[in-house]
Formats: sequence, C-alpha cells, structure tokens
Amino acid sequence: MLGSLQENPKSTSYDGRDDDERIKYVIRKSVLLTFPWILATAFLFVVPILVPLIVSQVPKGAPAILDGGSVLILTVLWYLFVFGFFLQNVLNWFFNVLIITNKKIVDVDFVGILYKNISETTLDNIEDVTSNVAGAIGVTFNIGALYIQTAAEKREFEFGGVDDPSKIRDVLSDLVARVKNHEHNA
Amino acid sequence: MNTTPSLENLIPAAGVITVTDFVVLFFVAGYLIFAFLLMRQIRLMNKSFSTPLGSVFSFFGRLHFFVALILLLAALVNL
Repeated sequence: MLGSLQENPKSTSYDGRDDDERIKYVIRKSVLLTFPWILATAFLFVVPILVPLIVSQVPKGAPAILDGGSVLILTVLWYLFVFGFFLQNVLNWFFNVLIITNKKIVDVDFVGILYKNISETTLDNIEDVTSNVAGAIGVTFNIGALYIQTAAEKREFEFGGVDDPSKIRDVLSDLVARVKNHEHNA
Repeated sequence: MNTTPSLENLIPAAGVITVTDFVVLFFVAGYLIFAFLLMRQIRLMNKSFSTPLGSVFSFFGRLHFFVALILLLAALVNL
C-alpha cells in the first residue's frame, strides 16, 4: 500500500474510469521523500516544550498578556495546526499519483489545498518512456523520475521521486508494447 | 520624581488581555477556514481517486474541522 509501485490495487478507482477499464498500477512518490515533513511534524510537536523556558525569562511582576483560557486555546490550536500540517502532507503524498490502467495513464496532481490537475492519455499514444536517477539521494536510494512522451496534446508526463524508476519504466514499456501489438494484430 | 512612562500605565492589563483574546479569536477563525478547505479537498481527492483509505481520510478531515469549530466556540466564550 505504501510502496511506489502498487500492482493491481484493490477497491481503487478514479473519476472517469470506464466499466471495462482495470487499474493495473498506481505509482506514487517514494516513502523516503516523506521524511522531511515527518521530521518537521515531530519538531513542531515538541516546540511547546520550549515555551516554559521562554516564559521563565520574563521578569517577575511583568503584566500578563494572556489569560488562562487563551493559553489553553492557543495550546490546542498549536497541536491542531501540527495535526493539520501532517494530514495535509499525507494527503498530498497519497493522492499525487500516476495511474496506469489497461487503457490509459492518468496523472493526478494536487498541490496544497487549492490546486488540482488531472491529465490522461491512452496507452497507444505513448511513444517513449524514459527514467533517470540523479543526485546523491537519488543514487543512494535508487529514487528518480519518469518521463513519458506522448503523441497526445499533452506531450510529456513527468513523475518524479519514485522508487526504482527503471523497473517502472520497464513495466510501462511492456504494457504499451502489448497494447500496440494487440492493436496491430486486430 | 520618576516620570518614565511604562506600558502598564498606558494600557491597563485587562485591556491588553482583551486585545490578545481577540487576536486568539482571529487566529482560530482563520484556522477554521483552513480546516474547512482541507475537509472539502479530501472530498475532492476521494472523488478523483477512490481507495480503501478514503473513509479514514474523510474521518480525520471531519474530526480536524470539528475540533477547530469547538475551538472557535471556546474562543468566543473566552472573550
């Protein structure tokens, strides 16, 4: 469920799927790329522990600027914000996918909470699939990008940060070859 | 005679607390808008790409929004 390449996912569908269309693969970014925001969440979670240290620096007798109720509300709001930050990042990771069906590829992009973009093309429109691995993290963990050239209006699909991009390129190329051979023989 | 003005003399402590209570209310109200947008976004995401985890995300999105709503009510009561 959490890997970059998910094969024959169960109970999974997308908006606009045909009745005779089956989802063969779902590709999402590597779990390793989630570490920066998981660490950020952990850091934000422990930040309130530092507050008493700051408060202890305030000279005695200084006027209070917050009452007890506001302190409680701000504390709950802070932890709610940490949860919201974590949830939004989980959603962005989980729902930014490249879906490969037996008929087409669908690129679903969500950025933040205010942007959505979905592109698709049929498999027989795919002309070339390229994978690359670059950079220290990419080479160390075999994480890279896929570039799918098409004859459709949207010329190129790009999907970065996937585990083992060569394997995904191979899987996709084989699928495209099968579809084209099937069409050629029909 | 000490004539140095202090903040405490210019603005009474009760006045400062009222101002900060309104600032807290403003923050919570702003956060409630974010929580609402996130809840709507989860619905849109589940519609675009439905998975077995969709109901889990919806639950957490709603929980997040309702906690923010309760917090707004608490901030209003705290005024």
